[in-house]
Amino acid sequence: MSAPTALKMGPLTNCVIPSKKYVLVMALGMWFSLIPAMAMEYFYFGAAFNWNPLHVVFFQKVLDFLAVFGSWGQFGVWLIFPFNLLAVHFMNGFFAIWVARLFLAIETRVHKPREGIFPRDMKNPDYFHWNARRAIKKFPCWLLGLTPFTRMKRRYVFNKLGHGTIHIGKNVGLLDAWIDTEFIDIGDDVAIGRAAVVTSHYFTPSHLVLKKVSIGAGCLVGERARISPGANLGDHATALAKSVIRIEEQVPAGAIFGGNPAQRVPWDT
Amino acid sequence: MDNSSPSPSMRGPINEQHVTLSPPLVSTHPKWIIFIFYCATMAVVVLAWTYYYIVLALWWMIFLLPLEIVGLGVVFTLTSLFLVKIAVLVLEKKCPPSEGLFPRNGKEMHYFEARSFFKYYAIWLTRSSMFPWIDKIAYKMLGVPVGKTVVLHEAWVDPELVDIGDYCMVGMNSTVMSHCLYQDAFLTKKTVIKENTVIGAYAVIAPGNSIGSSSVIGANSSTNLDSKTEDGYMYGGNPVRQLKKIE
Repeated sequence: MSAPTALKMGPLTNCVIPSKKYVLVMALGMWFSLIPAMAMEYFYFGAAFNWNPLHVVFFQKVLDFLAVFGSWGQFGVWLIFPFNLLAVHFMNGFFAIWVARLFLAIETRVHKPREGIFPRDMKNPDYFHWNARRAIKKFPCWLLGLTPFTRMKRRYVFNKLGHGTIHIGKNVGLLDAWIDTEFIDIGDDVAIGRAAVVTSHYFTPSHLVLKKVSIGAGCLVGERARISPGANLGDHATALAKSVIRIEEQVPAGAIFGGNPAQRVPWDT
Repeated sequence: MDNSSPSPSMRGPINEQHVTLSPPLVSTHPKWIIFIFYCATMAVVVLAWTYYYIVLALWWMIFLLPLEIVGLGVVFTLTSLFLVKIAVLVLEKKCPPSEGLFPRNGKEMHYFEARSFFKYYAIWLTRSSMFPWIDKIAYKMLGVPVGKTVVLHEAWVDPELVDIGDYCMVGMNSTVMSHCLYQDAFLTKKTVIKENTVIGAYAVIAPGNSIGSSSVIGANSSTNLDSKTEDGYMYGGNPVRQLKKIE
């Protein structure tokens, strides 16, 4: 949110090949993840508006109980309406993640994600499946980026969507940063600033490069900093605001790096 | 206020640009934010049912449905804002926002995070509504004096210890900060932006700054901690330096 209304921060899930197949994948994800929430809504509004079309035994008992209050019976159902909204949102998000995980399980069975340098060509399986994985992750990431409650579930989302290639530690603040959903290793107690970009992929005109980024425990990554692929921040290292950590830079533990390109600041002993 | 905790150990001068600016890290009061959501939604439910019964009585009131829908949004936002204000007042009574250098994960930082957690919710709501520029109401209500005809809604402005004058424009995705994390320290300092100032896109204004009136901070530039800029000049770079006078 702190982002402009035009930009939504969150897990970084751009895919490069625009294709109708990806729309199909996203639509399938939405379809399956909306079913449980929709089913719940059906019963809830059944009780709220006294339809009860399925004559479900449980809801009939609820309605019988509420009928004691006469026409105020509906009032009782509406008292839990906010929780109904929250439940819909959380159920939708939860099932979106797990549907994406199901798709990813099939996807990774077809082709296992790996680091390396791959030609930018649809015929290359690594490049193609990298795009496919991102298309699968897009819907849950978008959905969970929509609420102000994102910081409650960010770590969960990353760890679940990474499918074994990602690790996010405890007590990590990565609200409002753009972080890749693959080949990331972030330790405990890390603070990542607003609009920082941490990616494990980069493009050359002819190639896609995937390299693991690791950020050690207790690191501080500044406002709008850029951690490039292959970079390795030691424990309790600091990347200052607006610094650009280069590709495959090895930042020693406890060091303070700043500038563009980032170097050890002169006063850091 | 208890400042007796030992001052954090520091390496290097604090007046240079080496701050790590960071959003608050944790969700401190999830139950209370859900309570606020509950109350705001119940206000909306009451209004919607009232409207429903009015329509049953006077059928032509259905033509006011668009107004009703906008009204529901406004009621939801304002109720949330009001309750967030109460929560922030309670938290400020326990530990008022103050300038200074505090240990990381100390009392001040904890209460800062708690206040920001509530304020973030209110500002998020106003900005995701159909009129995102009403976030100035939220800022004014939550303790940031914002002048008239100010553009903020494309940027992030810290919701406390910031003072913004009339006719300011803060550009897209730029940030105005009054707090930062630095090594083992948590630092808060008042940032003042005087009237008629334009802050470019992607600029970072660090804590403790005083931006002069009728000046320009260029796009993608950043300022040092505690720096001051003069009135009527154009600034740019990383960190900023004076470029030229504005006629």
